[in-house]
Amino acid sequence: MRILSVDSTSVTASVAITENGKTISENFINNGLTHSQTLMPLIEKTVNNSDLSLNDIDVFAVTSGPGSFTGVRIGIATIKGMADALCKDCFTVSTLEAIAEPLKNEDCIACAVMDARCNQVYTAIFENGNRLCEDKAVLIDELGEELKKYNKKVVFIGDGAKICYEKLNDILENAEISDENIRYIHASSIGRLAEEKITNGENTTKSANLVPFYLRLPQAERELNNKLKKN
Amino acid sequence: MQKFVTNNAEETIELGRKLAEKLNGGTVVAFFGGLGMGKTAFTRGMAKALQVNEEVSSPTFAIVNDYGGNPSLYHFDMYRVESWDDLYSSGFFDFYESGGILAVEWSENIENALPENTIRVTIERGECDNQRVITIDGGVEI
Repeated sequence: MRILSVDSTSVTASVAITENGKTISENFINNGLTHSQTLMPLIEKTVNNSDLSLNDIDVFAVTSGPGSFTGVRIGIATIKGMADALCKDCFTVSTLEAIAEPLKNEDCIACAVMDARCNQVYTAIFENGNRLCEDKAVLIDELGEELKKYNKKVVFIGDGAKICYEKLNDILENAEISDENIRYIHASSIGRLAEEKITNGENTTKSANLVPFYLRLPQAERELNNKLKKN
Repeated sequence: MQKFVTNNAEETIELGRKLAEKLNGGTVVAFFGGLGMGKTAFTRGMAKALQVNEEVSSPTFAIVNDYGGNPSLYHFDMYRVESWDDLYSSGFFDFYESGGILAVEWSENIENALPENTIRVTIERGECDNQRVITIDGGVEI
């Protein structure tokens, strides 16, 4: 199965073509430029370097969130448009699951964290590739309390790894931060997860049914406007 | 807190230009003050300083105008933004994080979402019709 995978849910962007779990071509950027400008050239480059054409792709995969509002929409809209034009199937993967994928075979609690500002993170927790909780949006302190329950090494991974490690290292007995080279999401992780899930019987989806996935942040429970207090 | 008095739109534009010249990316300039006070004029001045080539107009319908510039200037009108979901979907946080300068009209509506280091610009009518008293709170000396 050949899969073109795209991620633009956070500051970084990456594109990969995988075949039967093996990476054929992959590009990653962390240059601070907006995805609306960089994603299509990145896809073009990835396809050209693979010596394949878009018609050779079987499945178009994308991270559906959580993530930045515009970033998630750019990724979904890009994959939706390409798959629709080529009449190909799509597949979505949780951003957090793709972030944690490199730690799948490590004997640890893998805590995927995306920085959502104001001491908030999007997070999901995995152990040896098995999911221990749903994707959720929490305050970093709450996450710390939850991680204390596991009497095992915790490894933070994702663009929120540094801030979580710095804030929680004191209260966790055995916490680590993932290596820089795997800390940020790479699209090949999406490809490998999609391949595995489809092989295990999960259905692909038509492009028309692709939708972004958002999580409500804790700060949204506050009033937005100082003056308009609801009863 | 700095207080300025301008006597016409041109002077308000000039004050906006002077402020923006001192700003770095990743800054929110939040306007407080009612209709017709000169928020758009002030933003027009900011656009000058940031080498924007686009026409600056109030984003009443679009909610946000992206003018480009160096750093990029994003002009918001929060008049119709009533919930956090509205705010997320405007791209407010994404543009802030991308290192742009955000000029935000009707900041009253999103006051609890403004970052700590926000520069607050309050514009009030002065002694005569065209005169404005402009208070700039936070940020840099002009």
